[in-house]
Amino acid sequence: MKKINIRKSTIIVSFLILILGIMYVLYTNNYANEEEKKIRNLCEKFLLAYQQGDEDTVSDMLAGLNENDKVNLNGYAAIVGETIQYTVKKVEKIDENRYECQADIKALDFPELAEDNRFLNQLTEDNILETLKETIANGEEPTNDYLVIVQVANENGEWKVLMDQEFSNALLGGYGDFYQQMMEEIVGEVE
Amino acid sequence: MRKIKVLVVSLLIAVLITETPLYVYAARYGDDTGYLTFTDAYSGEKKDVFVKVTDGVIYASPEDIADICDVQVNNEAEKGLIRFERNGYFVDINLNTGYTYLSNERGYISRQVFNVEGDLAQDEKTYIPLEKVMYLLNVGWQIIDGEVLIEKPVDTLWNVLNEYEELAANRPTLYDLTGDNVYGKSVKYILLSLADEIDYKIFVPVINEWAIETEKITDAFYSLGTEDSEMFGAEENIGEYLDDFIGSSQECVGVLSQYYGMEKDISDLQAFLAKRKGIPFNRWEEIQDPKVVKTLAASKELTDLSNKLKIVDMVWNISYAYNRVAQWGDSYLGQLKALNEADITRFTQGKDRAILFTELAGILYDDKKDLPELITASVILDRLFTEIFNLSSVGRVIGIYNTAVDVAKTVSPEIKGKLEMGDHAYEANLMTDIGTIALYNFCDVMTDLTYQKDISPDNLKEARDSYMLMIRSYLHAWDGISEVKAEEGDTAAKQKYDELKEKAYALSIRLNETARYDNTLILEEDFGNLYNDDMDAGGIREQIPVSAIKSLEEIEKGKVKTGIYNDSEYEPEGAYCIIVTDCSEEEIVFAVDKMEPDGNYEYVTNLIYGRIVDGTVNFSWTDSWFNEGTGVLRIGEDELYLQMEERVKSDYNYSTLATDRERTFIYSRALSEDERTHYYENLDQGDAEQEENLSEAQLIQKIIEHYEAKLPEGDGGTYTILDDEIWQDGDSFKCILRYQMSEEAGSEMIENGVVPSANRYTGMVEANTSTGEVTMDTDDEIWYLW
Repeated sequence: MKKINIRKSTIIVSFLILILGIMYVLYTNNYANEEEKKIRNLCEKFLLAYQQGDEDTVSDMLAGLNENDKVNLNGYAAIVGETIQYTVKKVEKIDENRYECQADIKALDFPELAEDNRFLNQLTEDNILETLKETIANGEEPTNDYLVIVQVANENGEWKVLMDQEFSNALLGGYGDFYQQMMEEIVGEVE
Repeated sequence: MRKIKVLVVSLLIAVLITETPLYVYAARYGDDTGYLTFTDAYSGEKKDVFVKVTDGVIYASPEDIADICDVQVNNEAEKGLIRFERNGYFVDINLNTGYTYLSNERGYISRQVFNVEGDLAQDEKTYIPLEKVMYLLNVGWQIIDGEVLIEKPVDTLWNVLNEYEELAANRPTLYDLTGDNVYGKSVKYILLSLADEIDYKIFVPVINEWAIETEKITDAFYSLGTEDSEMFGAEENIGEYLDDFIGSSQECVGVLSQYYGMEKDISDLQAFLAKRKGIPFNRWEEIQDPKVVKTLAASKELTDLSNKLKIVDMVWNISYAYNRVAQWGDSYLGQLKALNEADITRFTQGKDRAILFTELAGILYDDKKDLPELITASVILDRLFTEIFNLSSVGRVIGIYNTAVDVAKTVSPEIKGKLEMGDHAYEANLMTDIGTIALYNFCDVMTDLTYQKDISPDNLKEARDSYMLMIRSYLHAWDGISEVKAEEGDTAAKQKYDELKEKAYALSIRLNETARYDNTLILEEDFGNLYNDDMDAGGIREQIPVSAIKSLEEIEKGKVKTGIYNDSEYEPEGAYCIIVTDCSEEEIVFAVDKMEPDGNYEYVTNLIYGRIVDGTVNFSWTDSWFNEGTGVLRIGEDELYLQMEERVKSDYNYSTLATDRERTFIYSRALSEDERTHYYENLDQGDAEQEENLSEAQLIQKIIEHYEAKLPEGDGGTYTILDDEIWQDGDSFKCILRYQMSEEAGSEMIENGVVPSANRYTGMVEANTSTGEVTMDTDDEIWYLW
């Protein structure tokens, strides 16, 4: 009689442990999904704010800024930012304080535009932005798909988007790439 | 029924809570009121401030606190809001909540919240706790002879950080280097100008990937630590950007000297220094290195000094110089450390270069850890010790940094050899890259700092070093760009970058200078270190005893009124006067001046601090021509009686303040403004008469006399003005001044095989016979005929 009781209780305890284990896995998985979802939303919110030229939201969400610091989205950034299209594809947890979001950003291809004589021939020092606006309005601007990793970091308890060169380059329609090419050209002359 | 009771009680409690006034005021006004006397540790200026005591806490009005701490106040006490400001550093007190926040123009300084309660007086004025507010305003204080000696910073790190936005907005970019000179290359270079326009927070430029030798990067790092005097022309330009920051600390010697006992024998310098009343406010006010103290004590320069003021002046200047140099060396290493520890996550392209920068900075840091100490000792012992007194007040700061580097070059031949950077564009590029890393590193450090609950010395040092790295990398980038512009012949662009680098240089000096106040920035939310005598744990702050509070009668008793006391006899040869800046029952602070007829000071004694014994003050003096002497001042009712004797006549002596031994000058109470105007009008009329009578011969005589008086002693030469080299047109009198050397000097030259020139051209002198102003085209002097 005693033996039977022990078996029964062992089975019950094992079953309970199994149930709890499953619940824990489901919970943590769900929690992880929730957090990933939160990060994805954050990333999308940032991109939308950038596209809309919402300086306050971009400033609030960007890492490395003080409370009073405000990002200026006038001029070139606004003209190019307005045209970006984006999809956040995958969110990956790197560690407790960092996520990486894979995003596909379709934006201006500035390096190619800078080789286009139709565009260059219209340029003077004072009309760069106007010429760029016209080119975009006429649908004549070359575009590129930038597959970037957006880094999201925990900054003093708040998740923030870290502006790195790759992300910056995509948001500015390849301006970083153009800048680098110019730098190499100039340095080549210096050397 | 029981439930209803509970409900009623809960409601009552809720009503009581909501009806409680929001004002967080302490107990009402008590009876203990009086005055505290504050003495500024730098200027010696004294102020009596009305205070009141409630529950042992001393309260004062916001306006009085602002006055003694030299800050602005915006008092909206009716709304419960008070804001103090010192050059963009804010202390915001909300009396409704009791919460007080600290901020600068960039935002909150930390997450700290301080509790400051107000105190409503019967006169309905608001009073706030004196010591707590002074603490938040980074003021240091200690009690000396029943008065409060206060040290208030001109600038702290928080003020200097306000310049960051302007610096970041002007960050050096590739476009700065190519500039407008783009058409020679390609039109697309114009597009680089966009880099200046896009906000740095969203445009992270790449770090160069071009091939570069490790050695070159190391060279660039040395530039961060070297001094930049060779980059600049006149130090006045730099001085302009430093405003009154530099001068303030130099003026306190006279004040400090009264806190030292007068020693007959000062060969034991340590004993002399130990007799100081009170303690130093910060590290810059003391010499920690026993080797330096020993060398000072044994030096002829010090043992020859007989005047206490001069001893304190010397010790003070050496101490400041020593600590400035130490700070400079420390800052150099700090910059390397900041670069070594910079987070380079942002740099996804050119990452290898960024890694190389940070790693090399780390290697150099490890290699040079002992450099600051080496430089400090050498600078003080070998160079500055004898040079320091030849420097102007601005030069005393800038010159010290220059000398430090000069010595650094000899101490470390490695540095000397690597100072030649070669191509300017190359250096500018390198420095632009380092500046890029520095900018983002500073953003990260400051963000972390502002989230802190407590500000620690380590936090402060990290912020200071990363800011310095940014400033100095920009400075050298702009220097390189400026040189490139000069080579291209673009003077307008060169001027722009020269101005930027001058500003950056001045900012780097301001940043170094504020280091001595860092201890006063270590504040605790619970005011745990409000009273503190450990300068590493915070500012020096001594509890003000209630016994220091005096009645108005006590304060006024026996005091000589401050103000200007003029010579009662109106001596025509000069308007002498005594300026009393402060006086108590026991002590008087005054200076003796001679004024020109137009009211400008011709020369002046240093401030004299005298002890009043039976209405008489025996004192020693030095004046602005470096004459020295002794004197006696007797204090009468509304009159001062002065006798002065000159003991040491300076080589530069143009006049003297010594009185006739037979006579005592009597100085009556200060003239009113009307009396003074009338007095000078009379003097002007006298001058006008003189002007009419001045013939051509008299003019020539006066001009020759003036310039001959300036010839070096023993020169023996003379000046002449030839008849056919005189031109007169209306008020303008022009002539050529020619120099004739002495016969002895001429003979000597002939013996040496050199033919001396007779009547050598000295300059074209122009005199205005209406105003009496005289100038010469070959020097900068302006002088007057009468």
